[in-house]
Amino acid sequence: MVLLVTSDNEQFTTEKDIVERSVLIKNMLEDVGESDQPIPLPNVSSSVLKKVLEYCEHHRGEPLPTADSEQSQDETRKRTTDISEWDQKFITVDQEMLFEIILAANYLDIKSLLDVGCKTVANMIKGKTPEEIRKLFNIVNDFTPEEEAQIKKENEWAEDR
Amino acid sequence: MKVLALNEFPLDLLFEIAACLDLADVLNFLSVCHSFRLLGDLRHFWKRALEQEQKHYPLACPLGTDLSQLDKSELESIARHTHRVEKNWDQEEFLIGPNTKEVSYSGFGIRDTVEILAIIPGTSLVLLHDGDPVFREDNEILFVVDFEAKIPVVVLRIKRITHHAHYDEPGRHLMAIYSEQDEASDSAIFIVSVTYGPDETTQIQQIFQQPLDNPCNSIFIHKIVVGYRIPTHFESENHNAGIYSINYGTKSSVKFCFTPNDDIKFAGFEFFVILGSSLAFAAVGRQGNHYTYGVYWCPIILLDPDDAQNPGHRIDLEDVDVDLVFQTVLDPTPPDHLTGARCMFHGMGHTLLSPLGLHALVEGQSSSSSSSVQDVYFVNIYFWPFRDSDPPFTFAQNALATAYLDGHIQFYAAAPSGMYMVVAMVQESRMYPPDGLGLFLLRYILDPPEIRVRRLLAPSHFFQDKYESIGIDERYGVIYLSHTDGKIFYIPYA
Repeated sequence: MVLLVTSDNEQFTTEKDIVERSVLIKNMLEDVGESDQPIPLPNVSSSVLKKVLEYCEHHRGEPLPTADSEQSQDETRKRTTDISEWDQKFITVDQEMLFEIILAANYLDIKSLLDVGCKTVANMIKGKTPEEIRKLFNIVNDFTPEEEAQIKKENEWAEDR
Repeated sequence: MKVLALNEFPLDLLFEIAACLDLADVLNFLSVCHSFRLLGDLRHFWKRALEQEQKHYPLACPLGTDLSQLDKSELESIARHTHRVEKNWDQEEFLIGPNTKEVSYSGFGIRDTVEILAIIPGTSLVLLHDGDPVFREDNEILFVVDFEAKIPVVVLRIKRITHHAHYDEPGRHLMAIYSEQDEASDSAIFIVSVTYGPDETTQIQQIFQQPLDNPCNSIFIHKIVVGYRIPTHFESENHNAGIYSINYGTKSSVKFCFTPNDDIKFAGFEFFVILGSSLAFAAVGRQGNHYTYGVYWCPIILLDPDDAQNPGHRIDLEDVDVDLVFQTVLDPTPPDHLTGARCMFHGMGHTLLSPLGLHALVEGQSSSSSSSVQDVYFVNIYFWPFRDSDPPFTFAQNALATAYLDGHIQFYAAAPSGMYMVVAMVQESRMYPPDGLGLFLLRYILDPPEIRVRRLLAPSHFFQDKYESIGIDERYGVIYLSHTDGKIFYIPYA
């Protein structure tokens, strides 16, 4: 059993083969060896860790991606509809939680979860204009009028040469 | 703890998200805010976007290079160019650019028929030829037009151009010419070089000449060798027949005896193209209403007479790995709307090999039994993509893509990579009223193989029947048209 402590000081007890989907935690466990010491996760809140552990538990026992399989994963990466049904359902959360899951997956180094999160954001972006993307993610347009003009030019007819 | 907004995400995470997007979405993503735009400074960001794109569409990379050899700004420019083409393609009407322009070459001793021979890649230089293709004249002119300087820059007088081939290297364009004269002994192979550069005056000069007693029917040039083929005569044995190559530095030559199989022996014509590190040649045979296409290839190194691998200056078919990679028979299939009419091929195909595959444009004619309806002309376009970009090529036999156009081909040109072809046609069919010159852009998609066709929407004065020839520069998305009035037009399509 492994004891995890979140940023808001909540403790989670879980099994080693579940939590080892996180390369970060796997390495930590290898470093400290057999020990009852709790593992602090100062970048992950309890609500997010709960989701992450749910993901890890569902995918428990699946082979972890190796350096070899990275290439073939690249091949299929673009087909964003490839998100499995369970993952799809799992990742149907509000934007804030989605971002937190991505950041946590990145910090904990859980490649497959990071992919699911990034693909989900990409799917939200697809087919949208820059203005629609800003609106969706509540981003302020911080370009100067000169920069706007430059961007417009880049996307229109090629300049004379 | 405050959650990061998307625009506060670290760049490597934004990269991961952008890596899941199509090119069009990627470019929209960059236009959202400063922090997203920073991705555009990363070379591997553009490379990744193009790698995704490349799985579906061939890219307008400089010939002989792949993405790993290009720097950030080249990759970005290819990505943006590709996107502009796509965007225009998806418009209801395929537009030409607002910066369409013309250069006049009249008042330059030009008679009236000017042919675009080559567009020098990465420059604003177009190589033109003045000389009647049928009644070849002794004093033909080669000249170069610079679209930045807007004037013809250099001229070379040359005798009768019968066949020509081109090779580009940095700062220099080489053109091999076969000049056929009435007296066979006056016929010759020439090499003309066009040198140019940012700080140099463009120059055109003849750098090589060698007499050729036997008429040749096609010619090629690559780095240090220039080569030609002397065809077999129909019935009699011609002991001179074969492919010859000359190292034009040392002037030594090598003969490559190539005897096509029976199907190809009665070939209407043959042509060469340098693909990767090989010389590929295709032959087209005709048997009744059927055409037979064959593609062969041979490593270019064997054609260098000064290479140690062939000291005997002669190569026989058995000695080298010459492969027949492809052979097919076509039936004259009429377009769907002409089904039921009697169809026949009446024109020999316009066929070419490109790094993408083998293309054939075959003109057909459909005759109605009722004399009140005129014959309908159409062009079937066939495309067999190569599976690999360097020999040995393999063809996907079942991967034929087809398209058709209504009318007669006036002239056409293909981009060097083969991803685009531009066809000018006189349209006369039942479907459309006679419509003067139509300009069509053909785009070749690899997977699954497809030919996409768009008609360019251009001002009406472009469709007067006064055009002489056409050229296409895929890297900049420009079509060139030469005009009998002594002008050449620069028409951007992206």
